[in-house]
Amino acid sequence: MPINILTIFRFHNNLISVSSLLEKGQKIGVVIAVLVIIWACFFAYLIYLEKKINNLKK
Amino acid sequence: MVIKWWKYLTIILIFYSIIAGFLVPVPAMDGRLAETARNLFYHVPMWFGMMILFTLSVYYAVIFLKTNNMDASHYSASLASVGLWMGLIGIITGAVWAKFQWGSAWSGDPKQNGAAIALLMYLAYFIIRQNLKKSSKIHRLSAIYNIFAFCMLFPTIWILPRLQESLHPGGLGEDGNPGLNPKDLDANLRLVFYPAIAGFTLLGLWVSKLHYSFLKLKYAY
Repeated sequence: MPINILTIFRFHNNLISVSSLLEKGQKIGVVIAVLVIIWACFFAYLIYLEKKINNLKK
Repeated sequence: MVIKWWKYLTIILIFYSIIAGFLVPVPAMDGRLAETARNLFYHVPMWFGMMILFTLSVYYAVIFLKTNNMDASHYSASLASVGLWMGLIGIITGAVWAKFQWGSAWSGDPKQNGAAIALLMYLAYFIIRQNLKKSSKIHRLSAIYNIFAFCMLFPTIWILPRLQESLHPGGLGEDGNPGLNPKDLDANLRLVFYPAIAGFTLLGLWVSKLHYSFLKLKYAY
């Protein structure tokens, strides 16, 4: 299904309705958890790239 | 493969900055800054990192001009490339903060304009490198331009914005360097701010090193 602006708005509205169910502390917890996952993926990718480049050097 | 200790330190410092950055109590400040003060942990370290990477980049540019060592040229280009990315992230995080604090993401403030000019000058460095790809003078010309761009960084970011009234901290009439002035920064904020500077700068060095290895391989084949 092509992503159009209405789909994005619907996704945004869903996020807002999920967000309204959470307390302030829980929201911060969710934000931190999401950021930690994103950064963990980024570091995993960096280590993977390093390994790949080291293999190419050999 | 053995990951060096400073890479583990980078990972620890970045995770600490993210987690503590959201949890550490920030001063009330009459509700003026409120929670947006947390941007200090992510916006300012980008500029510190950028300055350190650009300084190392110009150092390697001078080494290349003196010795003609290709490794120095690759190091210089990699450091400038990652430094530019950090500058771009710094300008974006600043604009997001400005939207909440100044009412507009871009208000033509001297600091914003100065930072944009400095980044555009470094962007030209990559345009030179891209356009002279097949020329034998690519490394020498880009090293010379790197020194010029670095010299222009100081007036555009550090000197001119401080000579004018600015919405940004550190404008005309303010003492010291914002973020480093002991009167400006709460002790709680310092607990996260300094590790964040170290973490993001080390991350910049790590990515630069990877980029350097990639460039070296690219030019080898």
